[in-house]
Amino acid sequence: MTHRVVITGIGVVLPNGNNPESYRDNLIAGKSGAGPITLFDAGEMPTRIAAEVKWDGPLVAEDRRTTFAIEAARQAYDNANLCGSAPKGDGRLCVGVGLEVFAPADMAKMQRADFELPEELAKRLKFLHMPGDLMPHVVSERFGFRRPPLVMISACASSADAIGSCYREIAHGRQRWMMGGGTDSMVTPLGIIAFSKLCALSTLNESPEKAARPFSRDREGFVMGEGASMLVLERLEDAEARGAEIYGEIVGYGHSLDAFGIAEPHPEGRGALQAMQRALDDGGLHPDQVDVINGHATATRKNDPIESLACKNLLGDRAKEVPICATKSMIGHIIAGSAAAEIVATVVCMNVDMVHPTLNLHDPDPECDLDYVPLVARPHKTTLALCNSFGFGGMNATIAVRKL
Amino acid sequence: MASPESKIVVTGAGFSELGEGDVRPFLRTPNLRKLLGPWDRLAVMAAARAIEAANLPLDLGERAGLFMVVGHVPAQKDNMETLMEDSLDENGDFSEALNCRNAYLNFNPIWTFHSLTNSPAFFVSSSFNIQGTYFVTFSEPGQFYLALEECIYALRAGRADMAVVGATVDQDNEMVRFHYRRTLPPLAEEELRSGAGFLILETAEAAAARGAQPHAILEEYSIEYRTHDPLKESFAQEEVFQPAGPCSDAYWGPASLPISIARAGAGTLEHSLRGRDGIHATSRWEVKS
Repeated sequence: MTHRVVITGIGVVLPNGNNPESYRDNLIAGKSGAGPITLFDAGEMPTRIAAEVKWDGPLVAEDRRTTFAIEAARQAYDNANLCGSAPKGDGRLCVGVGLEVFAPADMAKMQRADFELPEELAKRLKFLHMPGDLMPHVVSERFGFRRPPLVMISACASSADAIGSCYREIAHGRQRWMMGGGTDSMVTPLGIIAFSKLCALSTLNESPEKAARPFSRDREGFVMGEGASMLVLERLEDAEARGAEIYGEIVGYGHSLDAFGIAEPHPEGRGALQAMQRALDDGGLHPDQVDVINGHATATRKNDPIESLACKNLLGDRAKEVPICATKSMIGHIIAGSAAAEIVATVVCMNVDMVHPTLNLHDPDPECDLDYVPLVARPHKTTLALCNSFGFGGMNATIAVRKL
Repeated sequence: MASPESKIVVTGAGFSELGEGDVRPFLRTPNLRKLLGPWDRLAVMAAARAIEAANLPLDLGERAGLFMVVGHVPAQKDNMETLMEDSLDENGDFSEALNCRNAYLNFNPIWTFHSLTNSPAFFVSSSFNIQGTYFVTFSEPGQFYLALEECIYALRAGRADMAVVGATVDQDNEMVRFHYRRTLPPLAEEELRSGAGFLILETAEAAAARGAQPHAILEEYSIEYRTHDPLKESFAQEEVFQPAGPCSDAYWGPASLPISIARAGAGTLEHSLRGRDGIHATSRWEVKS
């Protein structure tokens, strides 16, 4: 590594906050963004709740992923420029983006015998739902980035891999600054159906805010979320030279492949442990230095105890002393966008010496016997935090963040 | 062993096409077979051939990396029709409420796995126990160069001793055909091919240390990008192989280059790409065998 990498800009569009300050305040207050689905008529589906972004502005290309990404990127860029000067050199985008989930109304139109595609390019591409791989080009164009965007599709680890790749690009001297993050919106009929059929979603429709219950004995799955989070990352020396506010330093990135199950983690948490250990090794750090872990914490039956086991194996005797918090208990699971939202959560809370709570944790699962910061935020001085993201398909990524 | 200047060599290469090969011996457990989609089968088969050609064990472990690209998400016409069944109201208009109810009832959970963009990466990693670093992206040929470049960085930085690098595309389905109909200029469905190509990449030092003979050497590559708003500006793809090869006359998506390297005879292979995603890339490979 030749350069230290710092965060100088943050932007979010999330279910419980459409800017970093409101997001931080709502996290610390334990305010959930979950509610009944309003984006479509969920009718008789078993899951009729989600953590939706409260957005009444126009949609770019009729696509929520793209719209949220552009807005989060704009905020992050403006935030990085608050000191009066922009990051030095050319930027580049690296972003985690979600699966294609097609618009059923358009799909129905497609099947009509008299169906014809519109003439206009934009309308053609928007029809059925804009492909996810177009979004990074749209965002890159807005900021004039001249290198091709990097697009990560490692499921729930996508935006951790995106931010990790930004860190490597800058640390190794290939870029002076980058925009990294993730965006997703699977609060769509097919998104909800697909995960419902896998029994991955909570069905606590009568109490949406209580539905996401990571580490609880009675957890039954996650609440689908949506949103985007973006970070401006740059060299420490550049940030200092231009007087930018520094929110934190990325000090390590580790990832691994479980090579085990497509929808279940390795039973000993091997891949999760590898990701955390590699992130620490990358930064020349030791597990004893870890002050907080932002858990993947999906509230699925399989993830939470395995993640707890991996944390115990990493931390050893200190396992019960290190708080593990679950951002998904408040914003739901944003799939490709989740990791970036959780990294932001870690950074903004770290900077006010707080750790946000895990909501709805009244009765912990006996297999989840660590300190998950139940119900209420607490003061906590954090110097080093790990942010975990363990994806469908066995892709695991951990980002190590340090307070400067 | 690795350094920022290390030469990158291909020590194994493999490709596969629809309807050939038996992936069952490579799956970690037999019951994973029911989750396999066409692009997963293609990827596992091509990766197996590349690994075997490189004289590597089929259990690669922590020091192996995976770098791959998938094409656009596939969906078969009958599956799409099933999701739309009984979704019209009494006026013949699409009803979201009816669709939500009936699509839920008709939805086969296997489809979720078949449309997971990282599913092929899962099948390759689990089949060959690849536990190391990874980079998985989609969906056009230029993205293969981005995966290749990430792989080169990882090998030269010593984050992996060897890398499985490839692409898989399933274009024999209604959804992908539709996608290329709507792009401007459109691509005719007769031009679309399905297949996978995988390479084993190592530094020349690592290959020599284990006595591996290179199948090919990466002599040079370049990647440029034309910043654009794809909703306002579109490009035709131009892809040239010199000499012309099996992927010259059809569209194999991001799999075209690894398939071409796997099928190339001895000599120099040059690839030039101006992609519809604005990525312009070139590479030159010295193929030994």
